[in-house]
Amino acid sequence: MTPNTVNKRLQQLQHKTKHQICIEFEDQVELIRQQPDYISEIEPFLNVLKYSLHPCEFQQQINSTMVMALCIQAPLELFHAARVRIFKLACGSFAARNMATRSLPALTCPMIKSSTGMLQSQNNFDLNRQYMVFPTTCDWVVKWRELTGMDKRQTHYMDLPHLRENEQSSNKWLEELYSLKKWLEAIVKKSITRKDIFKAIKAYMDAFRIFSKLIELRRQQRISSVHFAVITNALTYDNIENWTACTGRYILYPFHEKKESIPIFLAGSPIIFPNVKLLTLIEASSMRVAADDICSMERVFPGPACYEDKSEYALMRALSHRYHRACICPTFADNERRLNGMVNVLKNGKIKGVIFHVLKGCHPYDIESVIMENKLKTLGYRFLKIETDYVKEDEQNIVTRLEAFRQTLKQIKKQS
Amino acid sequence: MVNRVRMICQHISFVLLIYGGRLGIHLGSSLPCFACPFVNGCGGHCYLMILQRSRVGFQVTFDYLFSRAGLEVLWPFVVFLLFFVPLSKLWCGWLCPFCLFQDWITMIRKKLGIREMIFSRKTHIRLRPIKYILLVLLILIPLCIANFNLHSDWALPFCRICPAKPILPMFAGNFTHFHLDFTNTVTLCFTALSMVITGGLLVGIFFKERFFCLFCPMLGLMHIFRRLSPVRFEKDISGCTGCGNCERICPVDIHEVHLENEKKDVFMQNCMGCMHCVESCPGDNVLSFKWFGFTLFSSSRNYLSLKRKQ
Amino acid sequence: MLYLKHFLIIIFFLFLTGLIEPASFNRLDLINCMPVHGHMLNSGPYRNKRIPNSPSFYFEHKAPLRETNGQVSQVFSLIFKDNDPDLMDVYFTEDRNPTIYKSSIKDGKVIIRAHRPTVFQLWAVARKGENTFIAHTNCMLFGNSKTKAERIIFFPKTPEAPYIEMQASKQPYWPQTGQEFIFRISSKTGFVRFALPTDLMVLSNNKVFALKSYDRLRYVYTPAHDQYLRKAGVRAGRNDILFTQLREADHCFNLTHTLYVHRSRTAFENYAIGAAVFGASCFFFIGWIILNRKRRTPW
Repeated sequence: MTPNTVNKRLQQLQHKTKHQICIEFEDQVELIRQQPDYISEIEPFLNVLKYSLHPCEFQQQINSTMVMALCIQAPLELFHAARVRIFKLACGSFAARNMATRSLPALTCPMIKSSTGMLQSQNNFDLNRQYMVFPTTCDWVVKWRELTGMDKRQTHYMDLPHLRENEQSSNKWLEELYSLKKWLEAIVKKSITRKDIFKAIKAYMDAFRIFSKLIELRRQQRISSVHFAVITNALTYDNIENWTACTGRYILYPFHEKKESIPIFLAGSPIIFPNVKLLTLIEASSMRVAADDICSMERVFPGPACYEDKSEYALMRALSHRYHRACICPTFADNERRLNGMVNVLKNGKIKGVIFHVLKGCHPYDIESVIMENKLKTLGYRFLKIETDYVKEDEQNIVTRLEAFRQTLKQIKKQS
Repeated sequence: MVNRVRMICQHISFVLLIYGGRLGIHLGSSLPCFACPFVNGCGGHCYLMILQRSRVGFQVTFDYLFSRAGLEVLWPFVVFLLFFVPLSKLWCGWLCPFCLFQDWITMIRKKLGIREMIFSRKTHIRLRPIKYILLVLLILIPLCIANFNLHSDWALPFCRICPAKPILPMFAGNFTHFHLDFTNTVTLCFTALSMVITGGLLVGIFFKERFFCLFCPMLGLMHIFRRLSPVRFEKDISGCTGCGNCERICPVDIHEVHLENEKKDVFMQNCMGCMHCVESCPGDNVLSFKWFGFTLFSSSRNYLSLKRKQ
Repeated sequence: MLYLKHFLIIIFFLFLTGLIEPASFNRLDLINCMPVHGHMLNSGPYRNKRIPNSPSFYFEHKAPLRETNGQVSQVFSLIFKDNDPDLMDVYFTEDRNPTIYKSSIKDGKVIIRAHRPTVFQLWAVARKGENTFIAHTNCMLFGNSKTKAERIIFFPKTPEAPYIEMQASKQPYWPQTGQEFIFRISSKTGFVRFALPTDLMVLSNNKVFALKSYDRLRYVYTPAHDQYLRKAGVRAGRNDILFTQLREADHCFNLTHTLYVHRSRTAFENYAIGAAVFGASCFFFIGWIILNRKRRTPW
């Protein structure tokens, strides 16, 4: 085959994949719109998420530099302070996943596969000219640049210490943040002042305040899990002020409590739009996710960045702790306290069941599921591990298991 | 909100303890805070001074100490306990005038945007015994003066080097404690030491919030008797996610509250009940201050989000 | 260099314990900002030949002692330079109470006890032939006991013997070197029937000086600073004996007053150097913190 033929075929594949991605997205949006709990206040978030599958269009739409980042450890506030827009490299598209199947190992994490496919499906999008930030969380993320053959000059690695409660690790992570700041300053050719950082923290603090109210509504089972996932997923693509304003408008809607549904806690691998299959199935099984500790949903805000003073060092330290100590990523070695937060929410929300979502190929969460299962069962909570992919074929199987789980929880409710 | 109430309490206490005497108010000589007796017209005296004095303190002979008259040493202690028991170490965080002075200095630093000095956990652990060493010395030295002919210019050894002695009288218009006393080598050394320590601590206070509290023997003394008080600082171990806000926000960088994974009681040695950590904890009811089992203040996610709005 | 720090700390502690003292330490007076009151202030060399050159009957203060029952006792030695007197009485008053109490003398020593904070005035009157010797002093004892000190009321109630009285000082705290004290010849009845002496003498540190009177009735005395007192500690004192002689016909009254002075609490304080040390300390620590900060966290 001549290179021209290869290029032509690639272009065709790109075009096809992009088209499929759009259809997949539209289908999912349409599904949301058809739901009885649909409200028009969710539309701005859906609009934002539309661009999450098309980095090229996203870049054209924004007026500033775009920096792609994987995982939640790269502090959003710093990007905001540098006046660059972050594009979270986390894709939930099944169609995009197909594009990267040939270039990645068979058992690759679906999210990595999907994100790779999404980038490869972009026309006239030179990956080597994109700025990228990689916090070294799981092995897939660490090796992702090499897998995709990206130029390392444009990328910045943040060496994530895998001990959370160790002082040296905290200091190391703080150094990493300073190094990221320097890197961002070099990109924007402008120094990031403490006032910039403070303003950014303040903006995210405002968002956190609204987000707390949103969580309250969720605990009362007033809002749909799919809506919640849409809102939280949009955070990493939207302008924070706009996101806060839209969320503020969303929470003003007079939601009603859905009393008949059974509250459950969702944990495990990230749920990325448009792949909200599990959430839809849970809701279809008359259960409702009242809480979760998924990094793309409730844990996008592990808490506000509390600073002791407004000096640059204090603000950076607050950010460093907020994105390291407060993070519950399963790649951390001393992660026992992750369970504490979960149990606290289970206790306060009177939730009896935990559904653990594992993406096939997402090894850290797979390992974590065993630890969690043992601990939660000891504490008397019901535990259901659902290992799935972005495919839709296993939906019936999942529904059956969810049904059985619901029956168990119902029985417990009756007994108590 | 809590911080604002605390500041109001501290200011009222400052006025009362520094100028109270001029208003005819005197709360006695056994207060569990740095109400410096060297302030002209003060409204009460620090118990540490009484501890070092003759007759009512430890500058007495062993014969006297173990005789019936030696009971006099106990009376100020009983009064000290009467003041201490209801409030425990909240005296430090909420009422001590020297702590307020430190807070003012910190406020200036914060306004200037100068960053705080952060000690490592190891340094904190190393500094911890100092307050107890000072406490033992301020009892041993007066005993040595009375019994082993130690030079009488060693009397009130802690007061001689305490930074509150030159600093707090300034608020009553008295700047005379900034001097070197050339009476003899002992007084010269003590006054030189006092000036060096005051200068060092003042700089320390500027760069590190509540720096003096790391060495305060009063805090050490109160920590010994904290169990007598109904004030408790508790942590719901099962609810802590280890975000580390408590350690970072703590003026004296107590790391045990953050790391504690077994005990409920987290009223640590250096803790002075300022409640900064409770305010900044995002876990609902994870950290709480209790008085006779009644919750005075406990952490909540909502409070934190509202506080940060302010 | 390794041991320099340790060596300096040891030297500092030796200074602190008063075990060593630099030879030039006395010269530190030169840099004091407070004036040093010397012998020559308000006084001059003794020239009066009519008055004996040393006191013959006076009190000498010893260190007060806290007893186990909370009372404080003070021993006074009564020094009588001639042979034993024919008759001797010691009596005292408490605070402003006019009642006069008698005190016993044992081996030339008088003991006064106080169970509460009390200001005492003591008199000792001795007679030898035509000479009457009157010694006077005052002291303050901080007793604190429920056991009351024993008191025997003296008779006659109003002795009219003249004595050297110290007027209340404007200075707070106890008598200190460098302070001004005003004396006059007085009697308990409040008037003097005798011809005033031309001079009032002082025996201080084995040297005798004559005090000048700044009006007809009053004498001013400023006790000199004393190297011994400076070293000895805050409670140490010195017995300065003021004495004179009054004659009436053939009768001779020898009056003494013992002023127990302590070292000055403030005379050797130097504010300028103190502020300089404080400032230097501040600068040193600021520099140290900033340098360390830059070294450890270069960002």
